[in-house]
Amino acid sequence: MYRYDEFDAAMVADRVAQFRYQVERRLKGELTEDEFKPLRLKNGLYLQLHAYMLRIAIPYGTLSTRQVRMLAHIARKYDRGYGHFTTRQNLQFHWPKLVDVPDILADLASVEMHCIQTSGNCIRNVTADQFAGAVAGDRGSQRRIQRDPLTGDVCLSWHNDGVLGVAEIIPHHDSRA
Amino acid sequence: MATPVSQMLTANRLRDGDVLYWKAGGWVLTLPEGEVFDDPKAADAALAAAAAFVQGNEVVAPYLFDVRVDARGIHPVKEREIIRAAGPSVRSDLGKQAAHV
Repeated sequence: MYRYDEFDAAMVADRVAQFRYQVERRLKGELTEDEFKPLRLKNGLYLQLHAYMLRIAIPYGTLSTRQVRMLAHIARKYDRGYGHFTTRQNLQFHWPKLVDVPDILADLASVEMHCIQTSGNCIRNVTADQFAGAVAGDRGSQRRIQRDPLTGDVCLSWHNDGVLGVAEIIPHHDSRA
Repeated sequence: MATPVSQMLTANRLRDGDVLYWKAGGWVLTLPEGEVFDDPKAADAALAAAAAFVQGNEVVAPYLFDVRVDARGIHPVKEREIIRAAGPSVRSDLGKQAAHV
């Protein structure tokens, strides 16, 4: 399980304060939606069909009991009592209010969690077969992360066409955020 | 004969993301309460008027969508708007449809 050092904790705390200020500026009209959208997406906050959606990073897909209890607390206090675990082993809340998100991020930071880089073309938890490309009989696996030479974006898909491979072909769904 | 297509105006509320529908210069929370435009010019005028609510930081991204109206009520033409009006298709106890559960 990933544990924060003092630098991690300080960086995440800074990001919470930064996003709190950005939300305040959006609500006061100092930022337009076009200006705010890339900022909220960098903090895992989407505006979807019914409401906002907040995606929380769970490194390696592992959680301590302290973290699980905090997620339950957030679900009860700020959302509708539930969350959705994703195929990439993160957690999404589907009904947070924009005005509450800075407080949610602060609560998450108190248990060494955040929403940074849970949107966009960035590296996520790998959900492929752990033996893909590493065992006899697995043909032609592609075990690499491709980076777009023009934009610098990391390709979201980790393709595997091997016999044993179980590839997760990830759609570029962030375009609808 | 097919029912003629009309239009409605929708947006999301900035503070909480809730789905809103235009009615007589303001916003309501449910599709049946919303205003239906049979005249495209009236629909465009409403969309133009909604820009003031974007400027006022009350709503995000207003747009027009197609509906059909019959004796049973208002029916969005596209599945996206049917789902927005009701709530999650996998959780009938959530969203606006929850009021009828």
